[in-house]
Amino acid sequence: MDFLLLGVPLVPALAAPCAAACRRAAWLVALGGCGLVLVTLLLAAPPTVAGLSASAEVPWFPSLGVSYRLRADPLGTLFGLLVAGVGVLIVLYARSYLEHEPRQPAFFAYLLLFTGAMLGLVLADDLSTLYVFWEATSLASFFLIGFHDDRWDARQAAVRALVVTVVGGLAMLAGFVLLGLEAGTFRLSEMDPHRVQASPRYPWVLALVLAGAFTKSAQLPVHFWLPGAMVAPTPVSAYLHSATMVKAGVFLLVRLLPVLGGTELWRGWVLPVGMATFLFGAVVAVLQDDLKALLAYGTVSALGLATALAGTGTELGRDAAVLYLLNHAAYKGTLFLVAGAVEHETGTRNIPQLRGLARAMPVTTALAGASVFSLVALPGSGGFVAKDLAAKALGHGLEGWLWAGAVANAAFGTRFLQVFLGRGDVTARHEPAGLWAPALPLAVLCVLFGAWPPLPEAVVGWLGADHNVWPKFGLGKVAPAAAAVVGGVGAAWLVEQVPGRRRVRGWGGDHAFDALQRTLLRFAALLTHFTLTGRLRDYLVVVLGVAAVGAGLPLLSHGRWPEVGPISLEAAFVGMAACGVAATVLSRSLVSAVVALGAVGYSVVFLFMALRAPDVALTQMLVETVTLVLFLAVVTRLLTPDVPDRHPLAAVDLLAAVAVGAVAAALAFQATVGPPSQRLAEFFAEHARQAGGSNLVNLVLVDFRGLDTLGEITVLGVAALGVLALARRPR
Amino acid sequence: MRTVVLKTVAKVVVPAGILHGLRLLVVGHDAPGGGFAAGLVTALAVVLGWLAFGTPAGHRRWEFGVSLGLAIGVASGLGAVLLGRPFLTHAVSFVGPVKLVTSLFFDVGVFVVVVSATLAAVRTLWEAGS
Amino acid sequence: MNAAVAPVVVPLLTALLCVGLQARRTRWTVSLAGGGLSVLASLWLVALAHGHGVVVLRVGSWPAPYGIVFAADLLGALMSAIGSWVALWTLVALAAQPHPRLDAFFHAGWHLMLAGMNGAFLTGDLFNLYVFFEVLLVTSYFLVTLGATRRQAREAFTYVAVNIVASTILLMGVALLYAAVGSVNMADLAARIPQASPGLVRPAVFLLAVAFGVKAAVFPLYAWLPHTYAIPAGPVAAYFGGMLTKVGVYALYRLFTTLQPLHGPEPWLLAVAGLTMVLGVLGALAQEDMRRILSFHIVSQIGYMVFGLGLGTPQAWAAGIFYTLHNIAAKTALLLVSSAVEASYGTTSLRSLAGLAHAHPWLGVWFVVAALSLAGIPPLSGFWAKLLVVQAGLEAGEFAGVAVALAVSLVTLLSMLKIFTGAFWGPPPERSHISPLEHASVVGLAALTVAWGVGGGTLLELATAAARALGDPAGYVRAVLGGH
Repeated sequence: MDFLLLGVPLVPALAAPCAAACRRAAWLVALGGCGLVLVTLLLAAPPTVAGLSASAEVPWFPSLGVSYRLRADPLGTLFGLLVAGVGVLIVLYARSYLEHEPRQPAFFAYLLLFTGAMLGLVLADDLSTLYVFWEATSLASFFLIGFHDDRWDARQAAVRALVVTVVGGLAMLAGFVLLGLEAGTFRLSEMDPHRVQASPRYPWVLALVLAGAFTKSAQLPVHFWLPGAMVAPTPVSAYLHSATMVKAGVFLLVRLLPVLGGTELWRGWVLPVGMATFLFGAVVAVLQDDLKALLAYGTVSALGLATALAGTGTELGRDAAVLYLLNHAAYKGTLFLVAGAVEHETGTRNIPQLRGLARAMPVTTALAGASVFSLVALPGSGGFVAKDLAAKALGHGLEGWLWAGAVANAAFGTRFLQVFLGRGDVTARHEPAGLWAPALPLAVLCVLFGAWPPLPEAVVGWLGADHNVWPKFGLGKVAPAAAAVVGGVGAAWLVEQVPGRRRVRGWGGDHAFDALQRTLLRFAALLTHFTLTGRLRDYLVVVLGVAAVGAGLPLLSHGRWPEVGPISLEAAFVGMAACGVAATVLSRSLVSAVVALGAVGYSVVFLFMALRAPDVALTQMLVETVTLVLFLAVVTRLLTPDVPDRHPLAAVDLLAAVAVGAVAAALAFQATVGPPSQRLAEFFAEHARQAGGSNLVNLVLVDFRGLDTLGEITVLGVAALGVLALARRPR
Repeated sequence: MRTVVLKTVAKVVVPAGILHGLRLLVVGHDAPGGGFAAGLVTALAVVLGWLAFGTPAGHRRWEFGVSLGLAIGVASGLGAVLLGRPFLTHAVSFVGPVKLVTSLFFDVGVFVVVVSATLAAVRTLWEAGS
Repeated sequence: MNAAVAPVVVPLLTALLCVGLQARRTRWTVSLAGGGLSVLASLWLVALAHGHGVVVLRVGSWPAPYGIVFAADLLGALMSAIGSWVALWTLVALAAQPHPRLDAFFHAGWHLMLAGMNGAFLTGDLFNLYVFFEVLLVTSYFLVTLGATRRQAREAFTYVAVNIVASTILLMGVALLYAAVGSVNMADLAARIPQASPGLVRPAVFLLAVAFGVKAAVFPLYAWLPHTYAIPAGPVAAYFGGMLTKVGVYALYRLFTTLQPLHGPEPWLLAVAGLTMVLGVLGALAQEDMRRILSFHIVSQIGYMVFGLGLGTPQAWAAGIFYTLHNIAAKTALLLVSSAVEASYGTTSLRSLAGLAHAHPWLGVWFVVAALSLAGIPPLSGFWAKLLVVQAGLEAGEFAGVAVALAVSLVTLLSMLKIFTGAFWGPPPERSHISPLEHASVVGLAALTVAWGVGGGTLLELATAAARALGDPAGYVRAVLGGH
């Protein structure tokens, strides 16, 4: 039974290709995939309420200690149900929303991939498993944001979102590895918080992991990818970029709270970032004119608050964060689906243009009302319960900020509802059931959370806590809420009057991202231009220079140097070769250079003879002759026999050449200082009879080291093939 | 270039060169020589012949020569493999006074490759230029 | 055991047959069959080396260190297996782009290069290694210029000139070691180098490192690579991009484990690795052409392999080996995609391409798989490779190196996105046919990266065992020198 758990993320992921293959029925496959996991999770849920956690694993990289391990604990199951449940609704919604989209199957395939990845993320009990699914959600998000890939803004938004989340992901990967090393295990449920927190590397671990969580949950200052992601089809915005994926960061904080949390460092880093994002998002949201941008900044704000709650590091904070996230999923999901319906029916999302939609879209208006009710946190709504618990968790110092946020939220809600009120030019055609029915369950939840005490209590109880979550109603609670509403409506009115608010929309940071990207590209181009000149001589100078310096340096300390002795016959031939080299370099025509080079070769032939190596000398002489013939054939018949003009850097070349030559000579001298080892020669001499001959050189070539010769004749053969092929190439 | 002198000299030198090349191949085991040198001498003799008498007409597929030579070289090593000995193991045996060395086959392979490769290169470059 | 030399002899004979055969169809069959046989031969060798340790063959029956010894340890066998695999599938891609007049040459070149590579991977003799490097170099030059225009042939000259200089340096290094120790057998060298004169050994080791570094294209010796790889036919570029530089990487591993073992992190090697990663990836980012971007990435990822080597622990070497094997598969797959695109659309410029994912969804899928793997995105093999390298780096306390590696993987992702958003997204082009053979060739390699991502435990075990063997040079010496 527990092994069924392992299939939960895999079923949607495997359904994805099927969805892509089924043209018409793609949505049915998607529905089936999400529905199947929903049912499975519902079956798995009851034991977790009783505190039993099912887990299952398959070894993945055993020698790394990595396994594919999932665990159905209360937190994971709760989020899993959220993911699968909202998934079902989104599939139904998307079917109507994308009615005329020819690439519907691809859309559902990506959506299924995402669902699988997200389920894996929330159920993972192994850091590697978690990371794998974490990046997989980013990828699915990339493809969904860029779904309309013929538009530049969609492509760029997709890239921004992916890069930002992957930057965080990479930091998190390093953090996870460090955490695993410090904790001695990659298994979340077995980590010992004391051991981890006592480690000197704890601050590094924490900082790196937080980088991942913050980028995913769009915290300041990298929040900008989330509003940018609104170019995605609205079901995607509702599902990934409000209800589920963006919550992964906060989810991770909650997940790691028992291991990494509860310290001053945790509180000091997480809480301020969360609160700042909360306020920033709330204020900027109100200033937006685009329905989805409004909602997106609202999401940024909500994620900030949830982060702040997790940042308290307490159990109460954790429960408040979870409750708040669930509640947010319900109302923000509804709002997105409503916004999508509005856009689908009117063709625009521009708030100032939209008025009086209530007449044509009564059900949609009701849904919007219910969700705004929760958003503004009026008594009796889910939002009220969640905010109340949040206030308790944050403590007295921060209540004022919370209230300020509530005012902004009220203004935000007012601006959203304006769309339905009054009288406007843009009219909706009608409201198809496919665009409101899927939002209905979420809207009901918004209300139920605030109206039916057992629901929030069950959630908190499930997580294993026993605080009283049901707020006491009283003037002290209702009056600030009412004041916030009044303030919010006023603020919304004020915002409408501000002429310059459009400018605020650019406050995204996406321009900064693009500028950074451009700068990096320009820097890369410049650097490459200077390092790769495309000139062979530069490359040769580098290679030879490195070799000469590196091989020459050890000689300074270990080298042995020659004493000047009588000039021998050998030395004379070496001198002859040197003259040949000089002549080659100084020749003014290619033919004379070739002849001079030949002279070098024949000097070497004499040198070999002087050293009593007739075989080598014979071969060298023949090779020189053939080379000379070929060279002359090429030079006289194929090339224009001019020597190119002197290069301006000829002096550098000369210096490099002399240095390389000097080092090579010094090295050759080192090799001849000691007595030559006779081991091999003795062996060859002893075994010559056995090899059937007396010419050792030839025996080495054809027998003792025959394989080398086989290799060399292969080289020769290939060279010949190359010449033949060049002659035979198509012209 | 094809002067009478060259032709006259070539009539003697070319066959002598080829024969000398073959001799170098056979004696390589005990005296200076071997497949490589033998191949170069033979090839040079043939080139001299081309210079003197002109190149024979027709399309030559030199790659066959190259691959044949290589095949002889590999084959001389594979015999040992068939007998369960390591690759390129050679044997010596005497049939009366005549010494038979299997590594000579290997040297013949070298010779064939060298001759074909050299002639292929010279001929191709020659033709490319004219 | 003759098994050690089979991955050299089989492709060599196949190449000779390909030259000799006239009928195209027969040549095809022989060539592919030979490729398949090479794969089997090298896999057999992997099994042998895994089961019994180093597979030693005394070529010509002469004992070590006097004759040439083939010594296939697990690392060599694994490299030869992946090399044969790459050769086989790039050959399939070649089948999709026939060159009527030059077919025989292409096939011969393909197998000869494989023979050269496998020889380099499996030989236990340093001079013999040099010889096989020569086979490799000359064959690669041959393949680069096959069917090339006059201008391309001239550009390829840069490649051959730099590499000949490197070969000369290599030869000097070998000669110095011979002077110091009196043999060129690697096991014998490993055993005797500690007692040899440092005045010879140090310059020799450095020269070998430079020569191998040029072949592997590490900083600052990498400059020849990116331009060269823009020249040849698509399948050739894929073959080269996948394997050629890795022979150099292999040789560096051999040098710094068997011959002159590292003990712990080697700062200068790590610095070289970091600079290689950074300059390669920035070069890639600056390009506006699919094949050029991919070529620069070859350099960048060599950095990771050298980083693993430079950390100097068997665990890090295992990471480096895993990374190398993964990278060969992913990189070849990507270059094969580029080759298929070039064959059908006549260009790989991102300015002229768009919407390929709409015209060829499956090609898009495989490109994404390989590209993400290259950037180290889970659950593909590249992720595990990166994770292993990062973990080894963190354990060794090389935080700066790990930071660079992670940052570079991000820029890698950026440049892969550049290709993807530029060539695969956007308005669909006028559709052109891409042959099933091209698809098959891409799948043949991309499937590996998926398989190693989802179930790479076995491969990691092999890499770990190979690295453990590298960490025990004494065992290698015993196996090769044996009772002598």
